[in-house]
Amino acid sequence: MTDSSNDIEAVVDGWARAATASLERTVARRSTPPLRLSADKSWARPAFALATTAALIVGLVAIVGSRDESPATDRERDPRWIVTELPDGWGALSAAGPDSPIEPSATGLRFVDTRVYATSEEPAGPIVAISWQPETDSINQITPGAGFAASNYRESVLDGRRIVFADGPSGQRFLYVEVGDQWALVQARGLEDAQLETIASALDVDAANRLVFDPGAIRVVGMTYQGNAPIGAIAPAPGSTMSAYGAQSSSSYDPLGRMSLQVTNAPSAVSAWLRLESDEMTPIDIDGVSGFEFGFAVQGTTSRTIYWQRDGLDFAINGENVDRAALLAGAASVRPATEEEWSRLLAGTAISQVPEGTAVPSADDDEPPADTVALAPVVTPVDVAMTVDVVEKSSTETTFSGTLPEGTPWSVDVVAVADNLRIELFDDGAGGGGFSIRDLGTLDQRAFTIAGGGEMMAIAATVDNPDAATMRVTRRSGDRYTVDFHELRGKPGVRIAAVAVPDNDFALAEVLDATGQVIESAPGPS
Amino acid sequence: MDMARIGANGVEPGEPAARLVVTADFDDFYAGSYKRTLGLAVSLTADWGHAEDLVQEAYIAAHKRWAALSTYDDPAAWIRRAVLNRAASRRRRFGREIRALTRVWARRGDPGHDTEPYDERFWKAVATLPPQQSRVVALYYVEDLSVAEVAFELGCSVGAVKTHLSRARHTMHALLVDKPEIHEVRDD
Repeated sequence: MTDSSNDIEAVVDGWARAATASLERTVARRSTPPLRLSADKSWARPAFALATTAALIVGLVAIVGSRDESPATDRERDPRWIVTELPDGWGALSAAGPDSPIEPSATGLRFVDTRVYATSEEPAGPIVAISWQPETDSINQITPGAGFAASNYRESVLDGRRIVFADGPSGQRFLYVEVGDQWALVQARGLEDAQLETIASALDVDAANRLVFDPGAIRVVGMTYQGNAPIGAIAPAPGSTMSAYGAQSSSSYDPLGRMSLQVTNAPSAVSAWLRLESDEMTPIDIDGVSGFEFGFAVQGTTSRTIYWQRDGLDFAINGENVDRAALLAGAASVRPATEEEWSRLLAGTAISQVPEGTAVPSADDDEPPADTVALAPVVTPVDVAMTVDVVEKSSTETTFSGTLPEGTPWSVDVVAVADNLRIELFDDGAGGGGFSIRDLGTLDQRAFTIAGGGEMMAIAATVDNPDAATMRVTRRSGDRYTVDFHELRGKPGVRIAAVAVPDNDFALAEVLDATGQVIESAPGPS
Repeated sequence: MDMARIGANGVEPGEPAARLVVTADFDDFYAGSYKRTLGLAVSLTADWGHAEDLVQEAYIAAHKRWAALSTYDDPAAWIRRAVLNRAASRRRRFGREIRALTRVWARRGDPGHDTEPYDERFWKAVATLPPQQSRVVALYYVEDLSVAEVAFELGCSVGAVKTHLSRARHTMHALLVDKPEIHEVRDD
């Protein structure tokens, strides 16, 4: 194990250079696609991104060892459909389907396997999804308190195993279950906590590190397997077919508008998964057929996906930078593609109807990143009083907040769940905030955790040393703040202090005893 | 201290001034810089589909501004800026949508996927770094810029770049080896 800071940096530097070389070789072998900038050419990127529903994802490596859970493929209809009514200035882009390889994009950073269960009433009825990380060395582990923006965590023990309930960000219910050395996540709508505990009790892990359970535990609450909805790699199930079609606005539009249609002829978990994850669901009519509109609140806007069934097929259409009326019109206009149309789309040679239309005002995201404060020399420290408010929002959530002498407010949230602390800095600046996950098992090795990385950074000290009395943080300006430790509820003997200062203005952090002697210290970035 | 900055439309007035008037051909510029830009985008997103989207959008935006950009010494710097900012914007957005949506693409003429898997795990870890750290890593390694050049590109001090680079390396080590602390950008 590498210990020194310099050694660590040298090791990672070597990794980075090797990874860069590999990336360069990979990129060098790729062709440069023509960039379509006029009306008589077509978009012909080697790959087009099609944002659509996750659950067309039949046939992923099973996370469960149950034997009777393969959804039957009872529909053999041709899924090659296209959208015929596009907004002015848009054109067909490309397609993929049974006659061409479809590969998932490695979307996202948390690759876990998920299976979705629902009743015959779905998407309106109860829904549950069970997620598991089968790779023990993956950096994308399921960790209570980390990454899913849940709240109101509540820890308890079930059948001798730790479990954690929480409220999901879209109104769903989370239940983390400790299984072996890892955690499984059960997400649900429309179920009581006691029903989730029934499912939790059935979860186990086999020798191959697959999550296994008796399907009867699911049937107890009236649900059956719908399909997989992994966050990450997907593949069509053998015997089933799916297709994808995409259209795009002309290059005069910035940001680009995109409309994606995905069709499958196999039973899938599309609508159940969408309902589980969406902020809202509204029944709608699509050209005389009942369907649903799912809304996702994203940074103050709403992304929509329209789902319906017709002619033995599942349809899901998603719009990006397109208004709702245009998306609904597109949904109502779908029809089977002719062989010629499909062939041209597959070849990336579809004739676009895109004129070089009127430019749409740019959503200017080309702004430079926020300024970063230049390093300044450390001067003689001066103790500066700063009031730090500590509020226990719940049994697991604590907020430290205050205002720096120059008037900058700050707030650091601490979520203590299971073996971890999530220390999060809210930063409305360019950095967008950030958080760190602190393993409580390493308190004897170090006290300090840094979180953030935008315009502000949080410094937190977590201790189980009863002699520790205060945390002191010195800025490069010399201002020095002393913060008392606060007991963490549910974590006997563990205390934490937190403060935030401008990024790159952190010079020194110390843990002091009651006499002012330094117990532990950590310098800021040099 | 006055710091050089690159604004939304290139170098701002008062910044390194000697702008050569070059009537470069956009197609040549695109063909000559696409792969390098794609590498940068992949390093920031760890996702070929997103990366290709970002690069496409950046070049389309560049084309619209080409009359001005073509007069710059280094229009590629503008492209880098566009990719850096769009990567951060997409990351914030997709952080929220990701659990509900997935993306698929048709694979054609894409030998890179088959012949040599790039170090996906490493770049995924880079993509989890705070935005400024991932930018520094991408520019320093993939773009092979010096610390001073990275500082100029990001409009910050050399010391700040060194700090971000150091933090990034330690976080990467933790992510890929120790895993006691996992830094992620908030996804909501």
